[in-house]
Amino acid sequence: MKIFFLVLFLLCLSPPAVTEESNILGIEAAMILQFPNFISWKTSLSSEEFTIGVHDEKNYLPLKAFFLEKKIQNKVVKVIRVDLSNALPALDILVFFAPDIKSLNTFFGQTACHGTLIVTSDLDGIKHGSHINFMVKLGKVRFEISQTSATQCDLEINSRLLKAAAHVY
Amino acid sequence: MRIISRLYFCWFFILVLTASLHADEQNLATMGLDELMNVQVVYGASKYKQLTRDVPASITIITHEQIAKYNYRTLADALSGQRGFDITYDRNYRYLGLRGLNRPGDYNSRVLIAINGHRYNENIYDSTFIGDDFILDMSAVERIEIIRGPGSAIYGSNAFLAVVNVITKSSAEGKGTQVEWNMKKYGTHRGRLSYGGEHAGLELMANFAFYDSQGEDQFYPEYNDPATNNGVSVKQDGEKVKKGVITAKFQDLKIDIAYANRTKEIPTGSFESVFNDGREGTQDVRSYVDLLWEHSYDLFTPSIRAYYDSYYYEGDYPLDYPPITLSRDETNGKIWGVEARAVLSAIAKNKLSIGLEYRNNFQQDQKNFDVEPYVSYLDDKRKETIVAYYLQDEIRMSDSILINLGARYDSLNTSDINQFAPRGGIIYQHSLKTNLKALYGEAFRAPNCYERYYASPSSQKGNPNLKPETISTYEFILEQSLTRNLNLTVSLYEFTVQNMSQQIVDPNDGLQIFVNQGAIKSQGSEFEVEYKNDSGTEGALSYALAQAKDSTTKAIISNSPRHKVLSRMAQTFFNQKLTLAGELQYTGSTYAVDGSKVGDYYLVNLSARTLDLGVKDLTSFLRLTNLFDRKYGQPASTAFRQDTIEQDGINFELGVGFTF
Repeated sequence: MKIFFLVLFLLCLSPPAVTEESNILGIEAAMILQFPNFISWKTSLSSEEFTIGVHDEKNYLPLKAFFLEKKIQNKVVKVIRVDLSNALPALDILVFFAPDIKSLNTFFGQTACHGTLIVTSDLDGIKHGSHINFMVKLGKVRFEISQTSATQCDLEINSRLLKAAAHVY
Repeated sequence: MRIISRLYFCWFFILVLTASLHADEQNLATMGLDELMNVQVVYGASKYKQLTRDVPASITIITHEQIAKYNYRTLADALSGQRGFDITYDRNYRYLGLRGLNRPGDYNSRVLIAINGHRYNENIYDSTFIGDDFILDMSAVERIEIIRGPGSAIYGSNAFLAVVNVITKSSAEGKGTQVEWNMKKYGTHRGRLSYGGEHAGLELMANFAFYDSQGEDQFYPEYNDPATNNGVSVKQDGEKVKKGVITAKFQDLKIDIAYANRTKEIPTGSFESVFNDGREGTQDVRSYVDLLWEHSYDLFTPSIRAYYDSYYYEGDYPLDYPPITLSRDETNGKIWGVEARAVLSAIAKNKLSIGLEYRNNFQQDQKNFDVEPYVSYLDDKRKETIVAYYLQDEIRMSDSILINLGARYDSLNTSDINQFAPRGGIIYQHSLKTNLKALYGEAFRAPNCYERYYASPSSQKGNPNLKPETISTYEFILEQSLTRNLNLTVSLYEFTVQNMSQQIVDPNDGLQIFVNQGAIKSQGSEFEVEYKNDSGTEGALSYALAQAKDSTTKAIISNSPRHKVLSRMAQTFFNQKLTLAGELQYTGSTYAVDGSKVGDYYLVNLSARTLDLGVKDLTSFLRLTNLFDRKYGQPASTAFRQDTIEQDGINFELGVGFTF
């Protein structure tokens, strides 16, 4: 059995091709990277950069690392940490993965949400105004979409994305 | 064997190097939405959600789509088509073997089955049920997670060869009211009523089912004598099952309530029963309530589980003392317990899981008596508490290296058993297409109440000093994505079982007794290619080679087929309204407990299922098993006069269902 570990050791010397953590957050981040291909922003808030605001501290750094040097709609992605209790900059996507989903209401309290796609990962995400909410279903990462809420925020979601969603509200 | 083993390693080394050289630059950011949606997540390996590639074990997930496509009617049906598994049947219970280890007479106590993380093994024999006696109807199952290898580092005793975690459907997945009715040969009917819905935040799923089979006459040449009806057992293979499960979820709280009551007639004359008497049979009643609270905070997720389990068994065996007298075994087991657990992500690059479990086996009663005239031979009452602590850390050393370390310490108060079970794994994620796992783990199986305390003056005595069986396993796994739709899994393993609990005859008094005797060493390899595309076609081809030997005699152990080949394929038509599926299962020859050879056999099963075809919300299905009517037998334990028990020939099952 020493051979097992010797083989593994030798393999570890070769450079890996994976460049980010491939955990569940990684899957969700990769999906967020794909979403703008299926969404039309009627109102563009940020101009030179595609700005993603991350509400919670836990996921901010991993998401920042994931989106490093990535581009969305030919714009360089900028990931910033946001606090919903303070004034917010213009955001293209708000990632709200914090467990206190009710505090998402404060976001709507200070902005009319025009042009900001809200992405959550909570059972009650859609109920609290999220546009795309992640879930683990049948052992795979899935998402549900609130087309109604998205339309109210000047976002048009492509039928291909709607078809891929587990639920559409 | 040593040379063959080294050849494996060399071949594997070359394979791995080839895979490394051709690993492309694909990563998550380059994957399309469809590909991302196909990455599997597993819960049962560490009691929290992980990607299968991060789990320190060889994983298979059977989804409810597959259960429907292949029309799996029991857990045994679903597991029998999976790499490394070998299911046998003695016309009373179904037995689960894995990687060459399926000891005749073991009531599935070397595999831990969990339902939504709740331990399903009962507390007298540590047995689990996988046939129609399984507590869930398969229509209530969302998916089955198979986690091969030792799992005692998380689950404690009995997670010896594997953990099988069955996840039930949520209210959304089983939405609406459904009824289903089906029939098959031998006067068999099966029915189901289920409901799923949400009301004011309360998610509810309920599923009730019954199974009723008259069975058919069985012929056993071992009893071919006019005194025993020329070996024909007349109408003594019947089975009746009633079962139900209710799951309810409200915010962070979830409750599962499950119940199953099964009676089975036994046609084989087991345990020296009078053949064709008509009274030989068993009843198993299993139920539990499980309450789980789980909440996610920013950096940690605590959960508390509380449960109550009950098990009742009654076994009737007409014995010719003489005169012929009905002997009855009766057992009552009850458990309550709590488990507190927290998953912490506070330390960068670490995912720490800590847990504490307290299990109180507050009733472990065993009786043996003659019914008429009443004579009691055994009235044993026991209690036992188990306290366990476990810790696991998933450490991401770099983008490509994940280390998983864990251990659990179990302390049983009554038998002075203190057992430590560690597990470790290095996972090298060379690319999203190539994943390598090098694993080491230990597990144990504490002696059960039956082995320690069951005694009958004429046949058996207990052994309170029985020690736990232990297993240590090395495994090396390659998971390689060959194309977008084709995945290869290769596993090489070696395990050694020490302190095997075996039943022998004590030469001093002629009574049977369980003793720790001998060791078993198994070496093997498994290869599997899986295919799945977006249009609903899926299939797999696997080969498992297992060589399980007695460490002293070096002889291949009984009931351990060396070769197992499995293949399956399902194809959907007419916009997924029609599914056709087929399975081919080959099981190599093996040995019965008396050393005689048991021949190899292959089985072909076909199934068809329609959904919304012609009539909206109407489902219909047909399943044909053992299509070519192969005659084959499976090894029996020493409780039988027969070396092998003949299995069913061709059968069909036809059913319809409707959703309101």
